Amino acid sequence: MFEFTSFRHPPDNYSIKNAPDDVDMDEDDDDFLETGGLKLTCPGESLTSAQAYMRGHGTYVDKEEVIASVCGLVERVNKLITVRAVRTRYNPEVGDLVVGRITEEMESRWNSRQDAVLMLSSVNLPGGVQRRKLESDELQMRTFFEEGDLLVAEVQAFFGDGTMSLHTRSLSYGKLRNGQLVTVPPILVRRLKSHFISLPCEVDLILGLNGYIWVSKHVKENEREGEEGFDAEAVYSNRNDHIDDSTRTAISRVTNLITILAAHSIPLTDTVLLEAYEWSLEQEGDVKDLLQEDLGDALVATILAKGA
Amino acid sequence: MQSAFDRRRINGPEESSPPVFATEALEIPSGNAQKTRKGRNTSDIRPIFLQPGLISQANGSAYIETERIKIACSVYGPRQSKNTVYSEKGRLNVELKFAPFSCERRRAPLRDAEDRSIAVAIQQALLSSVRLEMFPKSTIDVFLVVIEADGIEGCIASGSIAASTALADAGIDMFGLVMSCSAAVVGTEIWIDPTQEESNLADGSLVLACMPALGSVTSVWQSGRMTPSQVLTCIEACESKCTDIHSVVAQSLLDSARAATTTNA
Amino acid sequence: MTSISKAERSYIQAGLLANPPRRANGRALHDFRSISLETGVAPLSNGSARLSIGQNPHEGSGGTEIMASVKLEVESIEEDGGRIACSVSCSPSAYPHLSSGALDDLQHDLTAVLHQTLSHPSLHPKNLGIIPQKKSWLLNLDFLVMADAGNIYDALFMAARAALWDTKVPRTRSVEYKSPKTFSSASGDMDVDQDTASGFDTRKVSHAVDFEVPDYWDEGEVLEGRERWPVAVTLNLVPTIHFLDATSQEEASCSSRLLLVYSYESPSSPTVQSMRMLGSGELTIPQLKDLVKEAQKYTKDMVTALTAKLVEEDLCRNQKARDKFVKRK
Repeated sequence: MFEFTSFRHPPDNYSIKNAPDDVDMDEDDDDFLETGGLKLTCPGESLTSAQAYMRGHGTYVDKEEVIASVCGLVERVNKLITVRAVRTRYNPEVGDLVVGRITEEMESRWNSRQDAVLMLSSVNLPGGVQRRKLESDELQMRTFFEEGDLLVAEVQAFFGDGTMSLHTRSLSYGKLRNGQLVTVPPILVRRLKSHFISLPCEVDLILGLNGYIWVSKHVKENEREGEEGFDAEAVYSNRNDHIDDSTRTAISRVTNLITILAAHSIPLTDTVLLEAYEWSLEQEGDVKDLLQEDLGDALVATILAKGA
Repeated sequence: MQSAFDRRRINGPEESSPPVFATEALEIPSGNAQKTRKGRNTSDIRPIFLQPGLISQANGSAYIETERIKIACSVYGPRQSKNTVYSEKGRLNVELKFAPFSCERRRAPLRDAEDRSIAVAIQQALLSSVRLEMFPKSTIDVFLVVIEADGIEGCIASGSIAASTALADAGIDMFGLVMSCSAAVVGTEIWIDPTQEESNLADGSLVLACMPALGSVTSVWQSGRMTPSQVLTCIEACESKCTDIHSVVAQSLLDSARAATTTNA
Repeated sequence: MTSISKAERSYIQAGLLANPPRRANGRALHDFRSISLETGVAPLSNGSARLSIGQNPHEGSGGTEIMASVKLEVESIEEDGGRIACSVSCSPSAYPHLSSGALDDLQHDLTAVLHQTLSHPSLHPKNLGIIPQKKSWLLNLDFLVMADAGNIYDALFMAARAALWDTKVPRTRSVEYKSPKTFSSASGDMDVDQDTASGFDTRKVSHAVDFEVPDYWDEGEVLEGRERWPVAVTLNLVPTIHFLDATSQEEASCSSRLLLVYSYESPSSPTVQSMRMLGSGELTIPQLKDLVKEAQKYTKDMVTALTAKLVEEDLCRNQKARDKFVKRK
């Protein structure tokens, strides 16, 4: 029941190597840009001359030179240099799928975490898709979404000050239930074709690009559609379905796997998760044993081997 | 602070403390011999005087006296919450203040740590008894002033009784009245409703708050050293006392309600 | 309190009430997350400990993390024996959603429970006095909450026990001042009126007015009675069952908790040092009795495991100090 362990300590063999005296940065850069190798950089490091290349995100121009402004990987696309940060806040783009939590309700909109706004005009109102918004709807906003609710939405547009505007106008978006939330750093979720993943163990995943992942019981395809009878009760209800024991175990297992993969900084895609799940089924022991350090390391080693 | 460095006057010493008068001959505790309780049986509580409706401008109020403990309680609400966060259930806010003359040593008029501890204990006792789901977006404020104090446990117990009476006087929906009683373990005996002196002698003390009408406990507050069996004995003893106190409180509320209806009619 | 949606709350509650019960990461109802503990982390203090519950083993992120440290100060007092003062401070990074007023209130509440429990005379160690009636040690036990992922009370009490176990009180020696004997004139006669000490006078009247620390490098002796320091268990209550070591989401889903603090001076007869009901729930007396008994079992296991770890840490530290000395450049 009680398990006491020790803290990890950093290895004792850190030493600061003396910087080489004559490093000619520009030459290296040109070579790199020709060959296309991997280069890590930190803010203030000069990358290349601004005459030949255009600057992108994560860089700025100073005295005819393109200089990095974040710590990260230098990427080059033809004549465009960008630096992609290693750990950063989620950068939204139009069309991104995100999972958010309502933090506040205001006059005809809901506020979600990290500066996003869901307008009343962007949700499906009961009574059909084309219904016009009425004033009584504004007063009853709480019957649709309350503070603390989780939902999946798509980024529709940006306001002038950078706030995102979301919409849940499609039937696959809306309130989330029958599951639990896992948080990972946002960069580990890449832009995929579809962010709705179905694992064979009756577990559905919604990978939000902001790092929130919703793991839930599987919803059958045909139950998701149904345009004619848009049932407001069902879509905005807070009640979960009955979830049986094997599904619950599977959800816990997937949650633990995602936590381990995120701790080891492995990007999450459906193939990675499927392999991880199958590997974990072969192991003995309970779901909670997955969280131990040695099992986690073994899992990561297997995944990397298969990937490479 | 400036007065200490006032050169136009003759200043007193920088540090001074109030005199403590020894009125009765102080008895030196006689070591580990079993102490006997003076003036009461081990299972007697001090007589309670409870008067609801004393403060007319509050929505509800109550004044309680148990020998040397005197507490006045007033209830305001339900009022709209000032902060904008919406909450489905109402909020119960309990604030307690010791009057500067309430204890042997003068207490500063600023809020200090002990005020908040007792207020938190009273709030815990009352929290499950009020039907907060009937007051979304609202706050119910309970303000207690301790006019004379005699032991922390006694203040918590009497404060809870006063607050529950005041809530009933304010007409706020509740599941039941909250009664509270304290007990102390002195040697091998259990003394109910200890005074300050008695709880100084005790190894451990316990305050129980319950709703006798529903037979459920809303708060247990225990400190000091007690064996688990002593804890359970104290809880049972307090619970039976709470049932007795409940009839007293219910009677006084009915009397004041009757008085109010006869004056209105 | 972390905010969760109604759907999440009913998912967690349904999982707890299911048969067999299922929690978010597959734990059983009475399983704790893995606990990392290290003593002697603050070299300038007289005793210290760092504890975290549920921290990710690879990265070291997440989980509840507490640092506890003991600093001894000399105080001039009227009564004997020294005193203990606890204080908890919560780092704002642990509670980013709380305003500073609410943070102060939380700090105050945690401090009140810890101080009232740990400074009670029944737990007081006997070697905190220096000079009777004049000087004694004031033991400042300070906690820093660096991260909170649920179950803060259990973590605080465990860290307290570890830091107090690790504390070393410097050895002191009382010092008396004697006036120099007056010498008679050069005649060398002995002064027969001099007071001689009688062999029958066995009073030990201490004339000590000051003290010194005889050995600067000696860390000191351990606190007397360090097996007495208590451990806490928080039983989270959902009608019909209870569970231990809740994460923040689980704490937000169940509103009622019972905190029990047990001390195991003698392993067969534990004593209750503190008991608090927290949150908005009700209990009947039979339920309360059962919970008190169950808590006794849990704390017994906790104390055994914790003491074993602390003893291991003591041994380990001597070894680490030796290794470091060998590796020095």
